[in-house]
Amino acid sequence: MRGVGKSWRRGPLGSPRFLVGLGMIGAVCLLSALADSLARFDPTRSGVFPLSPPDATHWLGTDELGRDIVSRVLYGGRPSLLIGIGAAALSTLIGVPIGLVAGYVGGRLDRLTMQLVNLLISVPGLILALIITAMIGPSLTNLVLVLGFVTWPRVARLVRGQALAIRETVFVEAARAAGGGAAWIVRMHILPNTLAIIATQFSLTVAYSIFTSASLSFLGVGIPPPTPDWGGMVRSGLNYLALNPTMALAPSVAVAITVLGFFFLGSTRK
Amino acid sequence: MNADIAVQEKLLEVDGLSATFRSNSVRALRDVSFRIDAGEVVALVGESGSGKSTTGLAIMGLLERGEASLSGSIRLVRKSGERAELVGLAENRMRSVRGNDVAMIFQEPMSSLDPIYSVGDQIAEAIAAHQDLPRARVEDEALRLLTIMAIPDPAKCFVSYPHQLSGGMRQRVMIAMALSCRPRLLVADEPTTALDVTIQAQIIDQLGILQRDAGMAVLFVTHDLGLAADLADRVLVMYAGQIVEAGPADQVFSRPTMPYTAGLMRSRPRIGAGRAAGGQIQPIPGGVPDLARLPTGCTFHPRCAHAVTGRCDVTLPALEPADGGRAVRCLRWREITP
Amino acid sequence: MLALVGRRLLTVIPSGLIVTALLFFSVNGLIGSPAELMLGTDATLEAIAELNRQHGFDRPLITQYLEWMGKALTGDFGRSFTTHQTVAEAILPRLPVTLEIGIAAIVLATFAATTFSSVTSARVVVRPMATGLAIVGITLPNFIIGIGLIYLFSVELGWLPSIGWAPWRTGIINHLQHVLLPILTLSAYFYGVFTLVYQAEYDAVRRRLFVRVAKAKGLSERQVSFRHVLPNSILPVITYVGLSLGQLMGGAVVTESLFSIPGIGGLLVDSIVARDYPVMMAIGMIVVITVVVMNTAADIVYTIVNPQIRLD
Repeated sequence: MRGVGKSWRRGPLGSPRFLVGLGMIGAVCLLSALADSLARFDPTRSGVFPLSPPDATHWLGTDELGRDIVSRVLYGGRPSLLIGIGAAALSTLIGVPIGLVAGYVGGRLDRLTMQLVNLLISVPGLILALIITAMIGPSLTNLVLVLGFVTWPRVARLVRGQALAIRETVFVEAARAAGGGAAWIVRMHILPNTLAIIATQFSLTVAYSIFTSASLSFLGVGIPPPTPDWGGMVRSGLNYLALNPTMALAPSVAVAITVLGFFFLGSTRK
Repeated sequence: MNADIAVQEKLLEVDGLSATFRSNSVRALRDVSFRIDAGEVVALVGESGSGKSTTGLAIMGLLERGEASLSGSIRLVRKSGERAELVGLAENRMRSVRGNDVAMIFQEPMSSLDPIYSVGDQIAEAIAAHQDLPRARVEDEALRLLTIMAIPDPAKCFVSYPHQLSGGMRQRVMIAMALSCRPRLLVADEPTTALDVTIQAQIIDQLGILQRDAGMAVLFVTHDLGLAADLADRVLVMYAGQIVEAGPADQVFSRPTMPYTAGLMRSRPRIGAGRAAGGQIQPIPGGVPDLARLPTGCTFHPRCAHAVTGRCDVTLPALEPADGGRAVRCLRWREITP
Repeated sequence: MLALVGRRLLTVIPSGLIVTALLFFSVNGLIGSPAELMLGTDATLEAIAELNRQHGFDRPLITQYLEWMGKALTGDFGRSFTTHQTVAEAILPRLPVTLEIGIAAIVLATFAATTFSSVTSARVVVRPMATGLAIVGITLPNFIIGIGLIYLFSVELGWLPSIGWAPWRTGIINHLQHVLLPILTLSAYFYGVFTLVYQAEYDAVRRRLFVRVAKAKGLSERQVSFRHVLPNSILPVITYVGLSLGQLMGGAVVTESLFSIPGIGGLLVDSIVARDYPVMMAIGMIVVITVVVMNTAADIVYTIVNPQIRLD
């Protein structure tokens, strides 16, 4: 734990990419958390001036129902973040134990698990999510369940690879020689040394889940209106791109910043 | 230096050349100076990691700017008679030197050729890089070069792909490619180390013939002292990025002055060397120093039987002239030379 | 070698059966019975039971799956719930549209990824740009890239039509104007993936000895890069092209929906929203089978070109 954990803590903070990602995520989280006090309008209440361009009252203008776009973008971060983090948590809860067991036990169990995992990875995640979500209905909980289900195989494959590598290293051999049981070795040696990779993958899964849930909303199977949701806002803004482009562009930028931020956090090496 | 060579035409003059790798700040070459005259064969010997190959690459301008920084000077007399300074030369002018005035062959014939082009195409590419000839003439020329290299079926070799050829054949192809523009200097970096002994002998013989016929100078980089003694007019011995002994090959090998050279001589296997006379292999104790953490004083002192505390570990010796037209970098050479 | 390829091809059958069965069972498990879908929520239980009996929805799932599969293999996917045309009639005219955009996007992505990252002049500027664009392509959802392009080229500059579809017969120029933005949108993600894969391989190949030899001949950086490094670095990209075709369908769904293009991606979304079960199943099957076949093909290509890698 000590060795790897430390390099994980020291390493990324020196990387500008990591810091930029951290800044972007920090800003998005802060704005979403403070939406109640920052937003000057009710994001769901219709106004009398639809599609008005940006002005002093409505900084980014209003949408087709006269709702304030700034307020809707602020509130729209909440479902995105909840879905992203929830799905990544679920994906970790499923993927890590499966990966650890497959990697540590090896043999036939490992081969079977990995065949299933590889098969699931090769199926396009968006289409899988689209079909399942349409069937069970789009709610926050369902989206978390669906995206967690779609993303766990990658986590499992990664953790399994790492567990396999660590299993072969000297100190695990030593632990085994000293009479440590399998569960003890996994908990004391393998799990701590996969934490860095799990954390990285967690961040990438958040990015992927926000990416996919925004795409689902855009396709019309996301969080149902009138709840403000970035993907859905982009969809309805598309029809008014010439009249008030901020309606589609503002939530687009919000999705872009959030996904990029988590991607940067998760793709910093060492 | 040697009086009868000094009257010859100077071809390459390396003066105070130093190279520092940017990634780890290691100084791979420190104040390297030597010259090569036209038509002369100079051997550059030393253990791996001594800076031999780096010297060759520096002459070719193949140490990329992002990779290493060079200081000092490398002056080359080009075919045109122009004297060019190669250190800091603009890339497009350096390009007209490479393969044209100076060519290089490398240690690993197995990976020297691009796997996806035929041998003929790769030689043709080298010819076309410097000579403006119609395609048919280029191919004729490539075929002629393969014939010169005593390749059994040149026409077949021409259309072969590298993986279809043996290591010896590939090195012949490499030499043909290197000779394609009739360079005045060939840098041969351990050209036969990766080959079988019999193939090695054939290729060395051929290289010797070609060198004499073309009057081409060769900088022969090797760790094989036997080869160096056979081929070279002069020898440069490198250790830890510095030249530690230089001189006519017969002189240096018959009576090495620098303890390192003497150690190298003792550490090589010899056939028919008198065992009775204690002629067994005696490796030099210790290993090549880490260039990032060089010892103080003479870089060789930790491995040297003649080192004296308080002197060899304090003062860095200069390369000073010794008898027989040699130069040696040792504080005690006068005392220890038998 | 041939036996190896044959054996590998045979694995398509079990994999194909597993994924199609997974899809069939999960969809059926999730929606309950298609009869409810067809009749709506206010249908009487008797009516549903009657329809279930008619269509055989009351039999065990495994029987239904085998029957469905047997018919599907002869090209009979049933009839659409909404339009009542046969599924083949619904899909076939739309297939060329998706194929055109998909193939063009992959070709463009491959070409752009390999050339852009091989450029040697002003490398300190071009390389980070290529990488930056790749990260944008990978992280940004398709529809956002598409909206950005529409906003820039249609709304602001007015150079290209925003959305909609013009078939070839309406004129080549007209057609090309309509497909350009969709192709760019769809290729962005693949450009990103291919670029990262290509750059890693390119950097590894650059360190190989034959590249140094090529430089020693006196070739220019550009000649070395395009003649020697590029052709030797392209293999992993080709493999990824095969692996990407599954993801291509995901991208096509969003892109076709965004640009209102009559391809099978758009049809899939429509069928899902309308709960048009036969159409949805048919497209789902086409997608998963394409994925399995293409992954195998990519594996085989890789083995043939690179004999060191052995398949087990």
